[in-house]
Amino acid sequence: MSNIANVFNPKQESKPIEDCLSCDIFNSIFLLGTGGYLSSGKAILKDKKVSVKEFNKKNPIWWRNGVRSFGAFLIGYGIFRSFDTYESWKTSQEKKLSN
Amino acid sequence: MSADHSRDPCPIVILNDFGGAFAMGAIGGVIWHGIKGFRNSPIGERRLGFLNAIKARAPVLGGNFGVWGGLFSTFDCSVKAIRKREDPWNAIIGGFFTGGALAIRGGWKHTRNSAITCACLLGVIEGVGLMFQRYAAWQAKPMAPPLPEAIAPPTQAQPLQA
Repeated sequence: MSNIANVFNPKQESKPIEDCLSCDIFNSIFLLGTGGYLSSGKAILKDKKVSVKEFNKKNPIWWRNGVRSFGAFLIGYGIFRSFDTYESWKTSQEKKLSN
Repeated sequence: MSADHSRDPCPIVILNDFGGAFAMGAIGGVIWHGIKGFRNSPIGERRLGFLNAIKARAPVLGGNFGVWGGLFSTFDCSVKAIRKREDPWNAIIGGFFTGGALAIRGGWKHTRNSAITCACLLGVIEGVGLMFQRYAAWQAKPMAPPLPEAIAPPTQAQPLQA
């Protein structure tokens, strides 16, 4: 690979970050909210000004289904993250009590 | 907690970024639309045209910037929380999702193009930022202290002068 890539994009270490409860809580809420919005279909609602033909051209069925599926995936992932966050919070509380 | 301690922790930084982006857009809008309103008004009405253009357009531009900044920060925080790493990929992925989310009502082609453009833009910004960071670090690199002057080696004995 050319060295020019290293000049324009020098390598930087990818640093791991510490656990952050507020970030995890926010992330779970955000995932659930975004997932709800996408799966509800509001993101791909037909505008009154746009004709059906044009709308179908811009938003084919695979796209509409994809957006809804992605929303459903985000909801599922949000639920998983919520439990994960709760578990990590519980563990940290238990550690605090034992100390 | 983020590794970058000069910034607020994650959920609060979104509000901070939203406000910063709004202010930047509003100030830029005052300059941009002020000049535009001034130039496009007839002589004698230029002051009024200047003020009206600012009042009508600058808050809108500020709002647009604010939405972009807030959404980007939200995605950035989420990606950070999921990946649990601090590197330029967070901003690039955040930019990709921001571009896509803002264009989602325009159809799949618009969403795809906007997401890719936004990710590339953020990639370039991150790359340039890293270059400056490297350059600044190189300029401020630790220097070895100067060595004391070497003691002159003994030369041949010179004859004493009267």
